[in-house]
Amino acid sequence: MGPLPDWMVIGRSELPLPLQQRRGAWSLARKGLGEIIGKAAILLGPGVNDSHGWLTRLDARAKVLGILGLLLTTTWVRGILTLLFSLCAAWALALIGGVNVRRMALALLAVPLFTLALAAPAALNLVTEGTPLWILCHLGGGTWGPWHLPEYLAITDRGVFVAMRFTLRSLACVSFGALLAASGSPQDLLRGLRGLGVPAAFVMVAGMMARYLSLLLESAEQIHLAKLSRSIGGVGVRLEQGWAAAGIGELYRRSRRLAEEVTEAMVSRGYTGETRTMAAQRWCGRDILFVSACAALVTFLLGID
Amino acid sequence: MHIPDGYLGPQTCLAAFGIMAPVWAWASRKVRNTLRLRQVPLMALGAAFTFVVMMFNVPIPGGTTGHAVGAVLVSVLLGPWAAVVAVTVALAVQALIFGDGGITVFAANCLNMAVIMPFAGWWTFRLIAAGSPASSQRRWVAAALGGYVGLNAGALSAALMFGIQPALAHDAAGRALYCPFALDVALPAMVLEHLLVFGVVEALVTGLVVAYLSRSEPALLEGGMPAAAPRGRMPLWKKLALGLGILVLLAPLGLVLPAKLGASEAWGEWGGERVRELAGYIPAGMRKVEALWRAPMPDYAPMGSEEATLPVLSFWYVLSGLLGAAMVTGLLIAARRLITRREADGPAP
Repeated sequence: MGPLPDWMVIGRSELPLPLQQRRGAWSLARKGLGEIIGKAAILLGPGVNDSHGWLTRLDARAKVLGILGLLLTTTWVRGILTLLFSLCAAWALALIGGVNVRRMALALLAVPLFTLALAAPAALNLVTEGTPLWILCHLGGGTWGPWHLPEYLAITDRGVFVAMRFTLRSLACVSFGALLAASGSPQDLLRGLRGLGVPAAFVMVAGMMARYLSLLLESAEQIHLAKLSRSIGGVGVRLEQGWAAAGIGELYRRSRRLAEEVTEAMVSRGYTGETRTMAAQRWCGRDILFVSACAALVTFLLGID
Repeated sequence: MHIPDGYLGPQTCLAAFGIMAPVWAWASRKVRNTLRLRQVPLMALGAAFTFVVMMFNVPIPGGTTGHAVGAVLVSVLLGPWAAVVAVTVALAVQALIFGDGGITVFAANCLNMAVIMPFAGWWTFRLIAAGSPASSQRRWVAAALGGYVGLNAGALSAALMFGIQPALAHDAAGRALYCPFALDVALPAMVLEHLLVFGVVEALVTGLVVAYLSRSEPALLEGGMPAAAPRGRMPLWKKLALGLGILVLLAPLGLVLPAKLGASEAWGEWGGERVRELAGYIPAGMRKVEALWRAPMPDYAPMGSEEATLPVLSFWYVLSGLLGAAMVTGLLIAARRLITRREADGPAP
């Protein structure tokens, strides 16, 4: 057996970057895809129906109507206490209703962190003027490009109020959105939307998309894994960009092929182009009770605001 | 670019739904007429493809990575109206199931990413690539430019939505109820990062994927670029010329309306004399730069027309519009000829 080639000997590689960095983009992409596949398995999978909470067993239309009503009210109200109450109501509903809180947290994604990062500058006197609560540094006035700089950089009372209200509103709204997502399977949710008058074609396309999304995500992961398993060293940014483009191109080719196959399968089963969706369930007492409770909560929120 | 719930006020959300409702209806009709039986699976897979494209990390110089929105790519591959439906469905699933992008702001997100972005990108693509064969170099250059223009147009629209919130919705004490950043912060923050970073990623992804498909399977690129306009229908260049002509004829509104409403000149667009009136002096640097260049038609009229009547000024306004449009069109035609000639001289790399 001959000696190792130079490029395989540790420390004698002539490649421009260390191995970890060279494979960074692809590994990162694969890691990201792995995470979203995991999320998709939880959010799109049948696991939600295993939950025996009363909220998951409600009629989809009642859930959509009630939770959307609360979400719209949260968008409308102004008071900090009202928004705080609204946020608590969303999580209390999730806990009482037996919703899988992990699903709900997953659906929230990084919105709270993003909102906090975005809201923080609003507390400064650069964005919101007001009485300074805490002076961070002295800027000395003057101008910076087209902007006029104040004498000092400070956190203001009005700024803190605006940032708090913005963060609370966003958190409460996103929590209601996540509650809606986590309280039923995607097909259940789409059935609810259909029952409330959303066009059948839209519901059918969205339902099919949710069904085939996992398949395409797995295809994308296979493409990444295949490329990663065949590369031992860096190839440069340009070639990596080419690979990424080829991966997306291949994915598009697979999507088209899959769409043709699905169409043929549908036609062979009697599909004529007419869109059909599953019929909605019948309303029963608990559905009416839930919608009434949501209406009462909406009235209460508007009342205390 | 996915705006979460709580960032935009009810007025903006309602206005966005009002704009999007007829667009969705028209897009469904257009797609139904062109795709017929295949529409549902193709749209569903197109939407899933849009979703997955957003997961692809593309390396960019400097050791970092970014990902594209993919709306322009879908409009180049499937056509703009199909892109409206596919991106709308992808955004709906993202908002309802994955919590990415809000439910109350769904229409606003759709307006930015499912309408403005694919259409701005597609029109740029059509303008440059129209008439080129599927394997042409011009196609992927056009797609890359389309991606860049589309993303920046979408980002600009989102920045405007953010920036108008403090003016639209505030409490009695003047504190913002929704996004607290006014236009002077929101516009540079959103637009600069998209012009410098994300636009480049979008251009790379869109251009490279079109280049890959044009070499490996050009037939897949035929969805977005229809053949020559059917007989009896107005060709694209005539439609553009007609639109441009109407806009030029409407240009004097910019003179007439401020005169009728008693509005003064735009804030910050002051000449030296106006600055002297406002500040009491003309800054030395401004005086120096002002003398560097004398425009042949200052304020869109020949020199010495300052005291002319409104109809005369309107005439000069229209003439200036025609002149400017002719110059820009001439430059675009020259650029297109240059690209076409280069393409004819050598094969695509």
